[in-house]
Amino acid sequence: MPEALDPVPLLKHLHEHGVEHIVIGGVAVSAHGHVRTSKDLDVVPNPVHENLERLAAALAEINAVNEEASDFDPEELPMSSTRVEDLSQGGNFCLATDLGRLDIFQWVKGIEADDLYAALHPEALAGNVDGIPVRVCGLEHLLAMKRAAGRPQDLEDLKRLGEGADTHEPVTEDTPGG
Amino acid sequence: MAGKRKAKPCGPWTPEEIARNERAAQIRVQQDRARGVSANLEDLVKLTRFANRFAEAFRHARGA
Repeated sequence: MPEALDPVPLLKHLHEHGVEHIVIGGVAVSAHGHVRTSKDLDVVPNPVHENLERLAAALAEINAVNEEASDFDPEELPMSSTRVEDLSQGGNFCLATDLGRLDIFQWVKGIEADDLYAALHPEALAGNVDGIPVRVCGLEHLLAMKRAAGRPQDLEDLKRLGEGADTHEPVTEDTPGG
Repeated sequence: MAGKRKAKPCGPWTPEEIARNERAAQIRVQQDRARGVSANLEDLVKLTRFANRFAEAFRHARGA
C-alpha cells in the first residue's frame, strides 16, 4: 500500500464510481492559485444515500482503512468508511488507501452547516484535470476553513490566497512547496 | 451501526485539536522518512507536477 498520495488515480477512481464530491484542503489551495504540494486529498461527499453507497463501494475497492496517524479524536473516527450506514452518521474519516491518503470530511470548522456539501456546492468551482471533472470549494469557503484551523500552514495559505490576486507561479521540481 | 449524528463542534480549532494535528503530521513525516529519500523525491516530482496541472485546470474558473 503506497504511503503517499497519487492524486490523479484517486480522483479518477472516485469519478469512475460516480462519487459526487468537492475537494477542499491543500489541493484546493492550488486550484485557487497558490500552487503547493499536498500529501493527502481532502474531499466532502454529497451525503445523499445513493452517493454514500457509491463512495463506500469505491473505498472498499481501494482497501481504505482508518489511518493510525489520524489527527482526529478516536471518537471522531467512528467505524468503517466502507459501510454506508457508518458514512451516513456524518463523521469524518482519515484514510489510507491503495491510491494514497484520503480524508473524508462531512463537517469542518469554519463552515457551520448541517450539510457541508450543500453549503459548499453553490460556490464550488468546476475544472477538468487529466480528463477528470473535479469540483473544488470556493475561495471564501476555503479561507473560512483556513481561518478556523489557524496552523502555520493555514496562515501561510491565507497570506498567499488573501491577496486577492492570482499568485499562480508554477512551482518547479527543485523549488518544492510553492 | 445506526446512530444519532453527532453534534458538530463550532468555532476555531482548539489547542488540543492543533496538538493532535501536529502529532499526526509528525507521524506522517516519520513514515515518509522511513520510505527513503528516493521514494520521497519521486513523490515530490509527481506531486509538484500534479499541483501545477491542478492549478492550471482552474485558472479559467477562478477568473485569472
